[in-house]
Amino acid sequence: MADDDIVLGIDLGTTFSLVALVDESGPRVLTDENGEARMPSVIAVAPGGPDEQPRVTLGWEARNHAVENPHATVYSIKRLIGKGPADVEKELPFLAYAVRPGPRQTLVVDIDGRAYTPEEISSVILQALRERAERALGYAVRKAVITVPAYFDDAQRQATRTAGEAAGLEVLRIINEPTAAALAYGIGLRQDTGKAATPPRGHSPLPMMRCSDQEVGDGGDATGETVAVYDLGGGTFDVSIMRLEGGVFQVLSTAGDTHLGGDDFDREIIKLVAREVHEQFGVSIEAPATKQALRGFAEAVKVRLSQTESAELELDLGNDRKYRRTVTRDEFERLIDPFVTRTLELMDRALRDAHLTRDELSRLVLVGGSTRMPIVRRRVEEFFGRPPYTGLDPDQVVALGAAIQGAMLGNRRWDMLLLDVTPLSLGLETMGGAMGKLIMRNTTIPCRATEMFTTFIDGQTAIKLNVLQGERELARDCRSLGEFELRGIPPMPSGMPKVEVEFMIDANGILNVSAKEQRSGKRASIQIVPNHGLTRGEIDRITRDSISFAQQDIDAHRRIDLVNQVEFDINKTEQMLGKVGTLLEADERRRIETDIAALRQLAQESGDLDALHQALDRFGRSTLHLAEIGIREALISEQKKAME
Amino acid sequence: MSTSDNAVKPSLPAKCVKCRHDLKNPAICGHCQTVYPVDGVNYFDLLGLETTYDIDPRIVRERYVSLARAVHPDRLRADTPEVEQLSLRTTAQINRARDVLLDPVMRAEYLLGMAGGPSAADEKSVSQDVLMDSLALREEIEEARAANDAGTLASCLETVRGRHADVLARVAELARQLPGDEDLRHELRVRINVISYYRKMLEQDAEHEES
Ligand SMILES: [Zn+2]
Repeated sequence: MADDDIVLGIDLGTTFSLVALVDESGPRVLTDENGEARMPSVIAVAPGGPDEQPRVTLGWEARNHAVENPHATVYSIKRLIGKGPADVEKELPFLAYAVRPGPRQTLVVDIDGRAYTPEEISSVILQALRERAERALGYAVRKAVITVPAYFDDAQRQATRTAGEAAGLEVLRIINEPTAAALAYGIGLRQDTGKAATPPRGHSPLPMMRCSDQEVGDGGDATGETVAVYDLGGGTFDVSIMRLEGGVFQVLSTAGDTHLGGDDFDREIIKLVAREVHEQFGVSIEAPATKQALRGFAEAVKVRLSQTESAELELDLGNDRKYRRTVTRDEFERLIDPFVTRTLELMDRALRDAHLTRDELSRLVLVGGSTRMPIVRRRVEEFFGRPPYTGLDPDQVVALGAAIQGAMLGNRRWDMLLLDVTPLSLGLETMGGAMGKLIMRNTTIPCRATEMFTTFIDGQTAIKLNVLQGERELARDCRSLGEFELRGIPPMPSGMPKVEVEFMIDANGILNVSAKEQRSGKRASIQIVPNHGLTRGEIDRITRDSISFAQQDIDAHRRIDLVNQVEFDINKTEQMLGKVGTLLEADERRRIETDIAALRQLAQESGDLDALHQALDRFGRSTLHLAEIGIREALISEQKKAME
Repeated sequence: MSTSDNAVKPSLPAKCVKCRHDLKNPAICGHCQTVYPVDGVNYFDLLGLETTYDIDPRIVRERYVSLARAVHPDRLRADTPEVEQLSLRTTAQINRARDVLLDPVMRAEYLLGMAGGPSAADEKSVSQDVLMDSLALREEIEEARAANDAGTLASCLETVRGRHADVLARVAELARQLPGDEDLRHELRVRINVISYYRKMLEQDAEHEES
């Protein structure tokens, strides 16, 4: 197999990340030197000197030393990626590291005065997994499929892809975690014959039952089978309903919550302890080191309570103050029951969207480390009326599925097709602040919608759109993907331009927008100022600099865009002057020439970007008459041609 | 709704421009896998179905799957970014065709559009008595919910489901008679408008249950 054919499957998880690949012997998860497949999604940054690069440790090492270095140890970054300050208000008090708002409603992690974007931190994890694969293979690997929660929105998907690029990977596909899991099960991958929840881990490739496209799925028949994947990880919950039929994996619906997972269970224990410590000793747990220690405790208690009926907790508060407590499984389950109930409600919603009842499911598959908890198994079994299916290690199945998708895309080893859906409705803010839906949630991707726009002011050359994702009626309750500005519309009287805007959601679930003015046939340029995401310039920078960070210079990027637009508009106007300038009064012609020179100079010198923006708009208005003459002349010459 | 649902009868080549074999499907040549743009191709033609209201959902799914397997960018070996892009757009169109044709209301609406009937934008009205009836029902549902009166709530929802089924039956009846005359097309439009009222009521109930 050529190096080029290897595509990594990466499960970039909230608490753990894994990497898998498919080679001649089949799909396998890659392990570290201790035989451990999971790598903690934790990085720690040790400050370097003023001109040095920060020193980064990650994985088990970073995790094991978290308490010593709490403010510089970053965990659960997946909960922040593609998110804005308003999204994470509730989380911030629980984080031991500092998070502050970045530009355009993004977040940055602040370590010793340096800002790290979630993309950068994720890219360090991805890079480590890539290196693990390269060590195992003995050659460089460039391509990967990376998984995301099915319920991730556009900004979160884009950000994950950016992290992959920054890690030097060509991201062939962003695939949904439950879909990846279903794929691993669907090709008949098995680690054992049935019940055991934790099959042996290790390097050995997995046997495959069947690989032909005719008989996909264990026990599948010609009419196919319908599978629900219940995926409860460290930070996110997803449920996907899919049909496996004739070599096609079709997701029918998906639902989820990107802020619901094992972390929340830990947090319930943390809240309990913090409250009692405050009651008993009158102290609040504020110090990062104590927070970090408490986090470790809480997680250990949670894991313990999956095996035993009770767990001991002991916290040394200094000055001979010791907090001691026994937590029983019953008590813990009462605390987290509302979260489990919420997952089952989401399961019902997914079934409803798929037009199915619980009885019509042929199988329910459990994925994600948090499904090891007895309460989750019990409640899911009650819901489903049958025991759930757990043939594969719930920690590994997602990475394996991603590797299989990688092999499908890379060398088309399996004659199968995966059809996923978009998890959230897509729309535009309409007049009056409502959400006008263009693409409904759970529509099969790729999908597209088109919408016509026109201008309200004579000579208007740009239209602004607020693109939204979400299910709520009001725009302000939905998530704004950012401001999309259509530019380069030929100046015409108001209402005349017919700009067709196409919204295409590709197979990654990522939105692409294009626009065309139909009278002139001109492609309008689209400038996107993303919310919760990085601009192209920022992506290029982190790709280039890897993990050396200067203070971001957003203005520089905006300046480049504006200057480009100035050049574009000036060129267009000069062309127009060349063609029809003789039809203008000498005065007007001279004025336009002066305006061009002034605008050009401003673009070269001005540090005031808002002033430049305004000057550009003024220029558009002052050349309107020329543009109108241009259009008129063009139409006349068209008509002449048509007559001949 | 999106403009991409409008069929505009484009002139389709009968033979593949590349290999000259007969084109059995407007989206792709079965012989040399050349993909064609299908903007404006009628959804029934696209999936190789007769243009009629009564369809067999199983056949729609079958046709869809075999076409998606051929055209989808993951399956097609596109040599150029242009072909890749075309395969993406054509797949999106096939996905849309399947969704429209499998939904009894969207299918009726689509046929109505083909017959030159009024669009949702042209004719927004619903008949007065239906409007009053559905407002009354909604009020009753809200009251029952506020009072935690499960019995009344269930019977109200049953009524909504019944109304929904009745209108849907009438929509089907009218859609089968298309193109029909102007009155028929108008009635069909108005009935379709009504259905979305009931659908919304049922959806809202489901969402309410959830929260
Ligand atoms: Zn051909």
